[in-house]
Amino acid sequence: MTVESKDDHRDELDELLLAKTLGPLSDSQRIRLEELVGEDTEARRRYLAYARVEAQLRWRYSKVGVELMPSPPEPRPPRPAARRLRWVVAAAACVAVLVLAWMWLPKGPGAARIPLPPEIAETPEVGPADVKAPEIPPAVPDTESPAPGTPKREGDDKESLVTAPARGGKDAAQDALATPDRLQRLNREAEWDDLAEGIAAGQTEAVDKIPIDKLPADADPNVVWDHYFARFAPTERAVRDAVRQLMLQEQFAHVIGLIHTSLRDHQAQPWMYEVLTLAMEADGRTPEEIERAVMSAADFADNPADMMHLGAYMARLGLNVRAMQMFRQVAQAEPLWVEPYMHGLKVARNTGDVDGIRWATIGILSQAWTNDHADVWELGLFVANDTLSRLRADQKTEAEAKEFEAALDEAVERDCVVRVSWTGDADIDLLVEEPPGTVCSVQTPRTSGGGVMLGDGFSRDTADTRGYEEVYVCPKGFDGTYRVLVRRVWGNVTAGKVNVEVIKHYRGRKAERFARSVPLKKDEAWLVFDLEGGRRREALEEHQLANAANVQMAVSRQVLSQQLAAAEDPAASAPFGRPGAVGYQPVVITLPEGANLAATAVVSADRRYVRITTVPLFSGIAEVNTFSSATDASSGDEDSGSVGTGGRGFSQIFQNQGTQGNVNPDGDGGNP
Amino acid sequence: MDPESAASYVQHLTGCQNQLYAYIYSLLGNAEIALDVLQETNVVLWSKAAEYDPARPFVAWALGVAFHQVRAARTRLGRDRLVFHNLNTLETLTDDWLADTPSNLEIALDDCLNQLSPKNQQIVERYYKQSESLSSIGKALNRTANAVGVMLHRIRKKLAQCIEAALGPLGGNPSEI
Repeated sequence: MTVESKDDHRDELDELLLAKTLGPLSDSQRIRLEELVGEDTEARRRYLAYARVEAQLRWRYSKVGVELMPSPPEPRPPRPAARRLRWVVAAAACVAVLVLAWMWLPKGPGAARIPLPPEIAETPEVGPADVKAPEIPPAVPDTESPAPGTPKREGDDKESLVTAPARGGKDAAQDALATPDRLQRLNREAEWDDLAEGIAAGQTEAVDKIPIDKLPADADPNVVWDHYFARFAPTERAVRDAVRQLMLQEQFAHVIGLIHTSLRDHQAQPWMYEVLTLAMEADGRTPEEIERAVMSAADFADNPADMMHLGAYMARLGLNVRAMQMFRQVAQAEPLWVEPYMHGLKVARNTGDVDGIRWATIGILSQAWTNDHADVWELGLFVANDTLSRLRADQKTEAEAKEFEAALDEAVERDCVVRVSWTGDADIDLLVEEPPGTVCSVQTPRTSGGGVMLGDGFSRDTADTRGYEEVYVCPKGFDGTYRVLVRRVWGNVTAGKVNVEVIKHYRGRKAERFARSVPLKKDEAWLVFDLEGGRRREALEEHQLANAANVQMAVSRQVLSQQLAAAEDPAASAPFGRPGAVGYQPVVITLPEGANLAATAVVSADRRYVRITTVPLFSGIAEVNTFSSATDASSGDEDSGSVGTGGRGFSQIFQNQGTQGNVNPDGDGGNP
Repeated sequence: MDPESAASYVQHLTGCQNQLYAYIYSLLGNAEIALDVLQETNVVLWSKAAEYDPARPFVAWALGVAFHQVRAARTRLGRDRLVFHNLNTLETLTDDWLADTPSNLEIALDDCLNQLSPKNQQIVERYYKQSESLSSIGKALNRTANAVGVMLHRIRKKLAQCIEAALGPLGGNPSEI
């Protein structure tokens, strides 16, 4: 009965395993297989033997090994710690494949040998202990590559991996499985990578030269370069040299791989995009592939400068739509940059992209440009006019023309313009303090407050009857008070007066202009004007900081007004049960102590004299008192419940109220 | 971990990949899932490198880790994608594996493959190396897909017998498979 049962089980298992070969098992079959394997030792043994063969066959025929290789085209995040683990697994898999490959080799002295290139075939055999990825020298001069037939030197043994000694005779079928190409590829990749030792030890070596001559030319370039960058950190120059050499050798696939890996490794260099495309063109890639490659490179452009390079290159490549997208992004990130608009305008004009032209011209015209960039403004104006007239000419686009015109009108409007002009042989500087506290001057021609100083005007050797001027323009400014300082640097102006002209909402419907002839008393003149209806709403980073200070000042002012109000009428809030309660906003400032000397130097117009102005400052801090501002405002007890100073000043409180809520820094319990 | 230990660890890890794969495959019965679980096992093995005691046999330790990964996969994937779902079955199979983990399987397999007839070798190569389907091989050999499946099944049985004869049985006496 037992024998019959075993036989039955054997047949049943056989049937189930066959069924599994032919297709997926049904639920009942699966359950039965589990029962058999779980309960019958013999069935389990047979199942395991069968499954082991199945698994070994799958492994042996390298599908598994190949799939375990890392897939290079995916973008790589920066190299350190966490990522290393994945590499190790991949490395382990590569080495596993290598070990397997070694084991397939013909064994024994009589075994058939795989035909090898002469320089490899002549190397002496090494033992199994040598089967590991040997370390590649970080930089190998070209002259060190052994010519075929030259005597071997120490250290060349790594080339002999393919000829590892064999164990047991094998026939030709094995040779067919372990193809020489594959073994050589694996061998050279392992040599290139230095996987096991380098990565496990967590080393990354900086190298000045990439040993191109050691490059496994028949390997997948992406894999090769990924492995190389995981192990080494070549300098920019090394990458450049390597690319140059590879281009000369026409190894375009490696050029592409190297550049891609560099970009992924955050080593972008401006020329890379161009070389990448050239190499792809030379390699016969389709335009779609090239576009995709360049676009994927964009993922690694992590700063506006790189994006700008890439955008400019895309434009040259004819990827106009993409280029425009790139420029718009850059313009958004860096609103004060000229380049995105300049390049964008060029691309849009070439492609007749009206929307692009509109964006670029409005971008250009809505900003003020310094004298150095006057041509940008003129070009923007010219193109805008041209586009406008073309839009107007066509009835279909008339509405579009009107819209564009309105946008242009708004773009060319300037919230405020300050022009200082003078005659005479002199240099006058104009400084404007904007509401956020930023100061626009020749030294700081662009401020985060939006102001632009167009240029430094002064009299030159040639007489100019029109006089000279300095102009401050704020295309989109904040509402508030603008303080204008006119300062004489050198020389004398005619009649000691300068003309100051302020235009608010210049070119706008609410344009407002006033001009003054201001005498320069003590070489300086002040002028203050308020701007209302400023169009500046968004904030730049710098301005946010300035704005924070501004808010602080506003709060301080509010506190001060409360204090003043309470001082004026302490009984005013009494009916509400709050005897003049106020809040306090501590303001931290730095007080200089000791002797300070500030010096400024001015060179005369004829360059013969230097006028030095020195400002000595001696300051000392006489007395320091601290106090607690958090007092019980609701107690109603006038004696004990002090509610701050009530605007009477700190010294007065100390003198009059003694210990009430006040602490003396001397540590005497608040009794000054 | 010092570089020397790390190198030795990597050597161990890479050396037992095929055994690990075979073990995982035998427990899960699905080649693709087994591959995934092998990857996960490798990751865990690497992260636990510091915990490994060099005095212990590496393969047994690695199989222990792999077992936990198989259990996790079993929970994750559910019943319908795996052959075995009962934890006891998995444990029993693992015990049998741990009882005998031959390291020279590849050599034995090499020998056994060479003993196959050229036609059978061709089927093996087409199915595993070139990933051809049973029906595709059948067309080439002028057979039905099922006939090829049966042939493949017999080839595996033959190979299993041959390997057992060479290495000894897995946890028992050699007998007919």
